[in-house]
Amino acid sequence: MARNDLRPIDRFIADAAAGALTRRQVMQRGAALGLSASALGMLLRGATPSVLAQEAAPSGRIVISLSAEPSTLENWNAYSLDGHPVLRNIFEALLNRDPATNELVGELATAWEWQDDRTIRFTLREGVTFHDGSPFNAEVAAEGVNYTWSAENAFDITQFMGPQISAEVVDEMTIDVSAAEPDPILPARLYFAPLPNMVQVNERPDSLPSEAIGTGPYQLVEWARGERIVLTAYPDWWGNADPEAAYGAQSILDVEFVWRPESTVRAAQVNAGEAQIARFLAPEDCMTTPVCEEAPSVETIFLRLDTMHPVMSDIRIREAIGLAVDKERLVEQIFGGGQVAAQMVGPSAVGYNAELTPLGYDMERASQLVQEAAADGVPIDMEITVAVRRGAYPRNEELGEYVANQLNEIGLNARTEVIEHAAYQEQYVMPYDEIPEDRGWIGTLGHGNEMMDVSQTFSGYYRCDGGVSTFCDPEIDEMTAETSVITGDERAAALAETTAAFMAHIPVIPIVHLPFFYGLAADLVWTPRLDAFMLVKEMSYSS
Amino acid sequence: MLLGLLVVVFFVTHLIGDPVSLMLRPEATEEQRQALRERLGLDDPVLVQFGRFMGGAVRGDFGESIWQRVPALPIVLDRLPATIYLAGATLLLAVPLAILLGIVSAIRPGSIVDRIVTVVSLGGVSTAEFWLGLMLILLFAVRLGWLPTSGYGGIQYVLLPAFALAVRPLGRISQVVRSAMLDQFSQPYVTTARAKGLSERVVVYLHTLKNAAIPIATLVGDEAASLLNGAVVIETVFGWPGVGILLIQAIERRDLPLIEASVIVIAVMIVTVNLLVDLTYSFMDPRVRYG
Amino acid sequence: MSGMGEAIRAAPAAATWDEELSPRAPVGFLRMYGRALAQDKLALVAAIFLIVLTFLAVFAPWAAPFDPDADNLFMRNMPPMTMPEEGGSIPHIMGTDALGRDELSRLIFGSRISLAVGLASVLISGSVGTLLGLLAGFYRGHVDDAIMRLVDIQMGFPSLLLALFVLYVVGGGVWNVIFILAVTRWMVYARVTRGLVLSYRENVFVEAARATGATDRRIILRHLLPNLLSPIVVLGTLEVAYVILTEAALSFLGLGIQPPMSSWGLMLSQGRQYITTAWWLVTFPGLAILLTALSLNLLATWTRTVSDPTQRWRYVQRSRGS
Repeated sequence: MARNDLRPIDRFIADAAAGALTRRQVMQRGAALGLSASALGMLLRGATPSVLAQEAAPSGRIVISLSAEPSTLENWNAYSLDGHPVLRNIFEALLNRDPATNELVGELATAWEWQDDRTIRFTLREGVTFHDGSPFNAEVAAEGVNYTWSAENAFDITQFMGPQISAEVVDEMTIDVSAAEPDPILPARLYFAPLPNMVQVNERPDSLPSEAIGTGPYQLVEWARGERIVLTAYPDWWGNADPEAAYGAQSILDVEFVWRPESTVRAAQVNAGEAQIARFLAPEDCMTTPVCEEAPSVETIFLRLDTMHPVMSDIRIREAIGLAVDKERLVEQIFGGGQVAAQMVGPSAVGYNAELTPLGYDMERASQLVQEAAADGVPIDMEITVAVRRGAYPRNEELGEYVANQLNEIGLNARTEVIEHAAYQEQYVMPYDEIPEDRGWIGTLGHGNEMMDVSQTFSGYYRCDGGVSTFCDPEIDEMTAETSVITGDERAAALAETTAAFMAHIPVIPIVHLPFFYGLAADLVWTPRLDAFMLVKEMSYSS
Repeated sequence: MLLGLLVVVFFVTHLIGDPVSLMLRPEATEEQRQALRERLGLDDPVLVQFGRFMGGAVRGDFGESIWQRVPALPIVLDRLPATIYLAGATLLLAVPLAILLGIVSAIRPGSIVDRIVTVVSLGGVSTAEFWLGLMLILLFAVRLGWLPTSGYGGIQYVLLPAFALAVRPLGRISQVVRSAMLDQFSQPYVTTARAKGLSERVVVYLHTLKNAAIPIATLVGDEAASLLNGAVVIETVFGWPGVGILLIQAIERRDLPLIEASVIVIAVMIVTVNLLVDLTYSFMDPRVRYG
Repeated sequence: MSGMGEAIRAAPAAATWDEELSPRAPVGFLRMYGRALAQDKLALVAAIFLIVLTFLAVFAPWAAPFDPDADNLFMRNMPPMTMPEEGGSIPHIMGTDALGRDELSRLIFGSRISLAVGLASVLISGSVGTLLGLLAGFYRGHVDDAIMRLVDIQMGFPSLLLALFVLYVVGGGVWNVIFILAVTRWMVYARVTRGLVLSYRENVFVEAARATGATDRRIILRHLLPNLLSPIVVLGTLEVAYVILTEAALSFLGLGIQPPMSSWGLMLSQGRQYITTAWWLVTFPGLAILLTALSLNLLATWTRTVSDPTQRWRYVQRSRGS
């Protein structure tokens, strides 16, 4: 508990001095905290060499408690929240992200270079083998990219694809990956998709769902469906020879994943010493664990307004709705932390607009706006439904009830409806021009920007043809089309400008950049990542 | 009956929604949706799908689970032992105790003992399972450290979930035992048996219990059936890999083949339990014959 | 039969015999009940509790100390007896919920839905189930087969799937929740009734009635039904609690009562996320369900004892002793 009370920098120095961190971890986390290289060097010299974990053989065991079981162990399932905690330890992608800076770094590729605005040339890592001993080379990599993103296979991961992706072999250790149209965030898409073992894909396709054979630091031992998944360190992992490039080390030998849908039970597992990490805890449950880590995520919670509704088509009403919601209090009291949001992506995304500020909380002004609109003939008595998807994220139902109450207080006619997953989704993904004018939904949902680039959000929420858009404006459409293909230094500014133009219409009310809560055992050393991957190679024990 | 259930299940599952919209993120494009629909065979006319389903189902082939991408029936059968194990442990805890409590309170209706039994059994019936389950975990696993919090395994793993599940059947069965016993006490044969000079204890056990056995067996059968049909809440709380939680996940994901396979497997189990109950009837009371 | 009359009179099958069996001298009968109730302290407390509860439910807008929907994020999850932020003389006796609303007021308003849902669905499923069970057990043969196959299908069909289906076809709302709960529970009564009838129909009193040339109808109504009532009513009181809790599960899945309406079940499932930090959010709705079920059951068993001539002596005897 005490360790958790320290400021991050003090905790870091304490951990480093105690020898709880590997050399790489010291460098990464120190850099993230803004410490200079010479300061870090002093810290490293102070630590006894025997406890610099990376040199030791892997030992010990970790149990990680998740909220749900992966549906399948196929490589493409690493896109999902259920899949990636297990699969990103078994499989690797061409690229990964530096855990401290979130920058894209090589994983199965050592270098990459844009050939033109659609094609990237990757130089592949030497000496990589799959867990079944088969080699990794250009042919396997290119075939793997084509298989994973194939339109014919239509794996769920293809929803993260922009223009169609394909790859071809250049030479033994080089491939070209191209998009059908210019696609500036192609590298981010590739970081999201680990590569399969093509020998297995071609020869034993039936084994794919239950038998994962990757190149990663951990290999599958057993999947007892419904109970647990067991992994163990893969002795021939390339990272053992090059820990610097691997951004981690096999400090822990055995890994077991279990799943408990109830947050209270996951926390209890850590408290009883049965698990060392519990993921996705409710803030209240997290406080009970020895160490509670609150980590920012790529998720933003927001209200999505049906702008075709006779009431909500009036921008004064939309502003009033925004003003009636006390975002600061919600973040502090209901979500237990995080950052009040002014847009749909967090500061980590390219195209985040730092100048936008959230609408304030002002009930008086809100009521006044509603009255003005009513005076102009807006039918404010028409019903608005605050639609909540059951269990979509913690506190979702409370948010819905709160919003409906607040809207009734400023003179609108709102009610909450808690809807079961599938029924909700059916309504939520309805195309803009098919939504009945009188539906009057305020959708409450999260948006995850895994690509860490706001253009991913454009195609969902900003555009008339967006998959989940309830807003349509030809000017915004034009802006998104123009700015999302810009590359280089101007990209961020151009995207941010588009975001500002979109937000000026108030089609959505952003509420919070949601944090994730992890409960950790007292002796576990690990800093959660922004992308929420749970890479065991970044974990170690302090004693 | 199973054939009827097959038809009902097919149409109900196909009416309650489309798995495709659940498998993709909201932002996915229409082409991506269409591609997925084709792969799952959901773009065929319903009657074609129905024919395919019935054809497969009679051979025990429900197709591949959409969510897990392996054949659906083996997934369900794989979960069956866990469900039966938990249901068995629950009934083993609940039934003997319930019969004992029911008899004890029926001997002296209105007495303090009777009142206490009533309050306890009513408490069992009105307790929310998830609350009891979580409390048991916090007390016995976290505070005292005697038992594991959750998970699937030997006797130490089944105790807490079985106890949490047992309170409801315990309450229901003991109340029905009590009232069935009271009914029997007022029958002439009890008076006759007493007049014959047998000790009261023998009267109670031999005559009364045997005649009260039918409603008791019925209720035990019902409780067994509802345990098999899904101790969903407790399976969820304890991470118990049973059929109940599997079915709920399948419903939430609209995994049609998996829903269908689960329902049929559960139904077969329940038919078996009912058969056992009917057999018990004729065993307990030879006058009841079937035909 | 006034005590359990509420539960039975609504049953369609009950109307005929009720008339026939009703006491010849109602005044003396009532007095007898009143005296018996005064003697049985526990039953008296149960009766008072139910009367108070009904009163609170009916007059909820006047009885509730606060507006059940008035939220206040500053007053989130406050323990019992906290004074309201804006002052006043009445504290939040049972604390506040996750949106800072008064728990007691919500409990009072929630009782309306919970009692309506609990009683209505138990009445419907109880009368339908008992009737079908009677027919199956009495006529056996094809009738029995048909009804019991229906029971099997119903029991084999997961109630959640059924609830989803109803929701898709006819939509949500209180009446549909009642309908779903009734449809998923009728077979419990049917099976118990059938089991009892199977054993009774071979009993001396039925055989004697048949020997004297009684019609089927008369045997069912006059001889079988009265004997079935006590176990069925006791079962029904247990079912009330079960149904209220099942409604909680449905609400939790987004298939039951919708906010801002509230029910004990909904409150219970909403409070579950705060089980370690705000005990009052699950304890009070849980207690409300428990006490209601307990009171109903105590009254039902008491009524049954008093109304049964072979059991009534217990009260007579006790009054003589004291």
